Formats: sequence, structure tokens, C-alpha cells
Amino acid sequence: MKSIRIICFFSALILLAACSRKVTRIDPTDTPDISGKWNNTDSRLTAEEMISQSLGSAWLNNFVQAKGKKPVVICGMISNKSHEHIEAETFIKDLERAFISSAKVGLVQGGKKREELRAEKADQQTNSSVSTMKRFGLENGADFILQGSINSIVDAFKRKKTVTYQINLELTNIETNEVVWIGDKKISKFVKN
Amino acid sequence: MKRILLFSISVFSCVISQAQEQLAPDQNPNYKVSMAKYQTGQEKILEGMGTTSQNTYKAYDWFEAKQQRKQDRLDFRRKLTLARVNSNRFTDYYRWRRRNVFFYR
Repeated sequence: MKSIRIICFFSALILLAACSRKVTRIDPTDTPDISGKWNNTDSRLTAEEMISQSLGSAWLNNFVQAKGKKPVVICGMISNKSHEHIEAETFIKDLERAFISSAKVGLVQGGKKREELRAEKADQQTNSSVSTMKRFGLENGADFILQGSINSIVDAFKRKKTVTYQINLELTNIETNEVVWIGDKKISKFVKN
Repeated sequence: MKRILLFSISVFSCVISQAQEQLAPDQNPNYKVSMAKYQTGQEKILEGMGTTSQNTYKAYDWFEAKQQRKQDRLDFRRKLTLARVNSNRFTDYYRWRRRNVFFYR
């Protein structure tokens, strides 16, 4: 009887140990490549490269010299034409944050967030006090639109695979359609299964 | 007096409207054709602003394809087993399974 109890106890212990999940917190700047797919490191490297390229390019000084004010940028659509699901917002937000914190580039809201802002403004026209009500038609017009694309090339044979991602961001003058800056980042990986 | 006032108002409004219509240097005089075209459907175009459109493709990976083939084979066998169990020929599944265990593992 005693031996059965001991066996039961140890088997329960083994079962518990097998079911336990271990979670370890890591630094977002760490580079844990697990599956070889697009990960946080790729996003961070892209953001860093795009920030340094965009804020260090000639388009910024050219615009300031020509217009005497800092350029205002709106974020357009990023097209992911790669073989993986990649959300560009992760590095686009880093870039936008760098624009604002550098105080060299202005940023205006677009897309659904802008719709929400306008809806709120419309709501204020009937519900807010006159002194606090925000008026229509006073938004900042963007000078440039930020658009981009993500492409990938996959070469695989048996257990070996190379993946190359190419991320391009473009800044285009909205009035003249002139592309003033193209940011480029290439990431290559060799995966062996 | 009233006529003079009306005349002056109409002249003033004409001047203002003409000033608004004035083209910028080198601006295309037919710009309104394009403007009208894009002012009607702009909301749909601007819907995807600030988002990522996912136009992904499926890349061939030998290793993944091999794993997929294995999974497909297992799924097929499972479906086959279930189909045989559900058919009228086999009433006692466990007996049938014992008999066929070597063939459908």
C-alpha cells in the first residue's frame, strides 16, 4: 500500500513538472532568433536605420531653407509584399517618435485616428461649451506623405534557407509628387532546419 | 443709393470670386477635372492610411513542404479511420481497431 502511494506521488510530481511553463523576461534589444522569421530585432534594426537615414538626409534642410518652416509629414500606407505577415507599425511608430522628439519634423494624424478626431470635433459642435469648442478647418496640412513597401526573397533547398527582406520607405511631396527621400534597409538570414 | 450699393456688392463679390479662381504660376488650368474625380472617392482611398496592407505570397520551403505532406498524410489516415468507423460495415470499432492496428498507425 505504501509503495503504491509513493508511486502515485512521484508520478503526480513528474506530471506537474511536465506541465509547467517557464517564462523569462528578456530585454527588447536582445536578439533571440528562434524560427528565423521576422522578429523584434528586425523591426528595431529597420527603425534605427530609417531614423538615421531620414533625419540625416538633405530633404530636411532643403525644405527648411525653401519654406522657412519644418516639414509636416503624414503616414500613408505600407504595403507588405513579402512571404510573411509583417506589421509595419512597429517600426513606423519608432520613426514617428523620432520625428517628434527631434523637433525637426512635424507629424499629423491620418487614417482612422483622424476620422476619430473629426468625429470628436463634430461632437464638440453640439455638446461642448463655446469657449472650449474646437473649430473645423484649422488642421495642419501635410507637406509630405510617408509610404513604403516590404519585399522578400526566399531561396530554400532541403534544410537550408536564405531569406532577404528589403524595406523601403519613401517621402513624397504631396503638392509636386516629387520623391525627396527613399530609405532602404536590407536584412538577410540563413536558416538551417 | 440702393442701386449703387447693390452694384458695388456684386462687383466686390465678382472680384473676390475671380481672385479665388486665379491660378498659381504654371498651374494646369484643367486641375478641377482631376480635383472633382478625387474628391468623390477619397474616403475609400484614405481608409488604409497608416496601416499595412498585407499582400503576402507563399514561398516554397522544402522542409515546410515535407512537414505539411506528413501532416496531410496523418490527417488523411485519421479521416479514413473515422469514415470506416462511421460506415455500417464496422459495428465494433475497438475490435476493428485491434485487427487493423498494424496497418493504420
